[in-house]
Amino acid sequence: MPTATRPYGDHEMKPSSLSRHLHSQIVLPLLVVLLVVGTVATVVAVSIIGRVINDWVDETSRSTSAAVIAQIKERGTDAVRGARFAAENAVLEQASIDRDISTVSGQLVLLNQSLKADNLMLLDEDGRVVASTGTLQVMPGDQPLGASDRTYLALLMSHPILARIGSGYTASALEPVKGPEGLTYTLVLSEIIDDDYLATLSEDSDAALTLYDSAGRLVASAVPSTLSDALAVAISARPDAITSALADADSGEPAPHVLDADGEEYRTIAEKVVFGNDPTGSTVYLVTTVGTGVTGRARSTTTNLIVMWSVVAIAVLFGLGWWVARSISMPLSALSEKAARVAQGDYSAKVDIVGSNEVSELAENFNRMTDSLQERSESLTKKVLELATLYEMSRSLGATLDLDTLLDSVLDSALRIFDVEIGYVTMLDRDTGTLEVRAWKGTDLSRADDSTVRNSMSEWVVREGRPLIFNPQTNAEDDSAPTRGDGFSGALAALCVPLPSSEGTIGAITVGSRDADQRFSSDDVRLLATIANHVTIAVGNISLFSSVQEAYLATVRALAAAVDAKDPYTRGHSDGVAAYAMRIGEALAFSPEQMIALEMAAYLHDIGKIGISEDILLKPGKLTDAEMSQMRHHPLIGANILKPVAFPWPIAPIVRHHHEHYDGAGYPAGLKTEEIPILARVLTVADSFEAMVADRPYRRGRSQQEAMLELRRCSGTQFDPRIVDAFIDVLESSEHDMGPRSEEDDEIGPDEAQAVYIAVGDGMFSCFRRLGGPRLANNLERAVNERLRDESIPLSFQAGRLIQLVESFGDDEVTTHLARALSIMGECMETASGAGLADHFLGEALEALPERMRSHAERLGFTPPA
Amino acid sequence: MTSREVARLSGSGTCIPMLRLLTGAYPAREVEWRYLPGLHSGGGVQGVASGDLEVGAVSRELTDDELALGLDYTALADDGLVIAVHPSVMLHELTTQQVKDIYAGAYANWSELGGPDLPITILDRNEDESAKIIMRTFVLGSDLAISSKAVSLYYEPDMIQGVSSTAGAIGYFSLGYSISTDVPVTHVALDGVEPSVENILSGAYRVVRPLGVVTSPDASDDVKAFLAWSTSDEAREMLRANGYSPVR
Repeated sequence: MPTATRPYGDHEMKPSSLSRHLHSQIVLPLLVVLLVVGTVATVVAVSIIGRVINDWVDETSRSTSAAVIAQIKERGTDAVRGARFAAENAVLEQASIDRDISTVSGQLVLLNQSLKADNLMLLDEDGRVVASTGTLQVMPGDQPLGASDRTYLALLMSHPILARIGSGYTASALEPVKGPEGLTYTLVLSEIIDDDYLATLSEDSDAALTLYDSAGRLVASAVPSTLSDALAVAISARPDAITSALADADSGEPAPHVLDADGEEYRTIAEKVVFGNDPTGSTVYLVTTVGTGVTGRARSTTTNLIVMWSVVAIAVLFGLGWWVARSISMPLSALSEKAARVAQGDYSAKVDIVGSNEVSELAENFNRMTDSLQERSESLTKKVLELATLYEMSRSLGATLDLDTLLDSVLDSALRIFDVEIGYVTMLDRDTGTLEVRAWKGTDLSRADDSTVRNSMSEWVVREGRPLIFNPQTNAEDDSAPTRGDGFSGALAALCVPLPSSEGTIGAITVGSRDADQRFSSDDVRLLATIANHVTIAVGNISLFSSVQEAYLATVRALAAAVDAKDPYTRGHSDGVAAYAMRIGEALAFSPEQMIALEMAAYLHDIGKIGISEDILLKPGKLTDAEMSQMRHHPLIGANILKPVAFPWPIAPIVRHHHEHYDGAGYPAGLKTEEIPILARVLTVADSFEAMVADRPYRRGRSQQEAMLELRRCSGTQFDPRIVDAFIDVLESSEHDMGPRSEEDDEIGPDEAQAVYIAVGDGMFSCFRRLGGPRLANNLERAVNERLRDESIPLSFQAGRLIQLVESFGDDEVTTHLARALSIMGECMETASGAGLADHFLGEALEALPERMRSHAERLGFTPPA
Repeated sequence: MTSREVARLSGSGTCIPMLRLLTGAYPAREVEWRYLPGLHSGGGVQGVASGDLEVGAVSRELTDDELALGLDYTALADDGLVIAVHPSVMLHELTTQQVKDIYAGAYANWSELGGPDLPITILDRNEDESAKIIMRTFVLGSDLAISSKAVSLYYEPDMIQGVSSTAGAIGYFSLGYSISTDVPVTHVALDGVEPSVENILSGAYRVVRPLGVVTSPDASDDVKAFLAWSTSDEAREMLRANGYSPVR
């Protein structure tokens, strides 16, 4: 798994880069847009504000200018009206006609009492002052009007003019009055245009007003106290801005000009003032100057405010955007990271996102998904483990033919699959019908007896043929009386299923745990039932195999018996060879199959002797070459006999070559060393050794020591040295183990006793036959068998050998039976040949026994005749 | 503030500048002085009698009818009546006869009196004005016929305005008013006597108007205190500095 995660290593980097990516994808464009929009908006706003303020300033100048001009004109009109009113005074007119200057003068004073003009005077036809009252301080005889203005006096019409009269610049109204001798005099009502005049007009405005006459001379100036004195100085200095403004006004297109006074900025505009009904066209220029100081401060304040708020808005929006992006990207990156972990197989990854929106819902669903995935993955893993274990188990089931091994491995697997520590298998004994514990794990059941097994779950399960689950109750408080699920094994939670076969339930398998939290489910039942089915099948196979094996062995034993029957001299030879071969096989650690084959081959190795004539076989003394060569055919004949029979392991080659020599001097093929099958080489050693140590009717066997010496002598020539070494080791160790003990041990083991009885029986019978011949021997056999039947001893003489009819007897019983059988045979021999011969037969039989057996025979009560 | 007593003043226009001087200098602030439009001396007396005024300004002797009303009269100062000409006339002295002749229309030009060649503009007051009454009493004589060319002006300020702004004009008005407002006119010495406070006090200049006020006998203490203060040395000195001749 670690290597599997490596390709996903790149994914681990992804979440963070993803979050950065998404975050910056949202935040950076937002920032750029905010900056651009904010900057543009600020610049536009500031420039608009600037323009609006300038426009407003100019508009203020214009409106102030217009208002002032309107007042000037209105006062001009008032002056005309006042002049007309004065001219209509009859006393004045009469005095004028009479040229009564004193009266005129007094009337003027009187009139002005109500007119309140700055100056009121009467001019004669030449424009000379006749009389005057007012602040212009013109004296009679003066000509206060300019030449051009005087010419208009001749028009005899009332009109206003703007002109310098006497000491001041005035707005004057001219009104014709009758003079003496038909002349026309002119009444002049003047209003002085001076600084006070302007100040009155501009009372409410913040604009500085300046008037210039048509020649551009300063007439009057009014600078409100709200404007700085520097402006007044600047205005009196006649700056370019005013000159330009005047020029603009003259051209009829007044435009604002910027005036700078002592660092302060002003906007100035000039307009032409002309009375509407003034034929002289006298003109004055009104220059209106408005400070931008206040508006400029307002402008900079507004600009600062706009900039500040723009910055604040950008910061707030950016913060908001950043927060939004973060609150989107963080959960996403967390999800992505967790998803990557899930992809790597870590289903424990959980996303922790609080809130109740789509993202948290997604996280919740993600968590649910990982939970589900984890659950499925775990169950899948469990299933895979189960399957793997089942597979492994079924393989091991096929691999072994040993029931206990099989049950052990099955229990191992079952415990691993269920992850519990207790398990055992009970099987029904087919003969007794009792339930036995055949294998166990996690608990010691070696002492289980019938009654305790009866209390186990499996007893019920086997009886009912149904599975049984026991899960402990969950009331943890009740610790005082813990309920034992399966008191037999000590498991608190247990599951037991039957082992079903076609012939009914053959046993049960139980798993359990001491963990009170363990719970078994119906799934577990199904799984354990599957295992049980496998076990049943395997058990069936094993029993089938063992029955087949037994059938083989029975056949082989029959064949061997046939050989033995043919050659009574070598009776028991095959058994002995088989026994030695098995010991060698064990020493060389052959496989069970090899052992079986070796055992069979040992039993059958001389089967070829069936095809050898009895004359040769039974011929005492030396054989001729021809006879010997015929005798040497027996391995081939045996191999040919066995060839058609299908043994699980090839036996024919073993039989064929059991007379080969290691150096190649043997027969029939003259094979040497490794060319000879290993089992054949083992058989050669066992065969030769048995032939050497076995007693034959015609001779006594050599001792084991002698035989071992002989084996050593021929080791490397006739025998495979390795096999000889192994065999001698086996023989020596067994002699070492058993030798001393047999000397000291008073008890004769049942096996040894039985061997002694059988050997003595065999010996007596073969002696009897040798003297009495086959017919007598057969009669004897029949008689003995009858007696045995009568006494219902389950033994029988067949071809001179005692055969056990029923095997399921205890050793003591068998020994008793054998002892009884021998005494019966002794009695029958006495009946047939007399007591003397019977003793002789016993004596010969004892004589033929090896020394050890003979001593055993004596202790068993066989005493040789004196 | 709201508890401040309101004292309404009106009456002779000649007196008003002097009263303004007094109320302006009066140190006590308990009274709010409220000047109503000018009503001439008679109007002031009638106003106090009817209770419409607290203080009525009078610039002449009370008539018998007015005395019968039973009001208190307080004399404050004597105001000299000055005869003045426009500066262009350039004459500083006239005799009583010359003045009479001018007002009678005997002269048309100042050159006839040794002045410049300027037509004489005669400015006069109505006959019921205190100034005209005093003028007739001391200078013109009660039966002098005033020239038809003379112009009668209603208010003393108009007279002062007319004399100061009209070349060749002659008129008469309050010396205190003229001095306190610094009018650009030429005060003419009458029969060699300069119209000055000293001459008035010394009695050398006789063309004088008595300036005073009438008050109700049951006037408030505040008003009475003001009147008491107005005749104090402090007030007198202040009036004297302003061209008025405080009563002894």
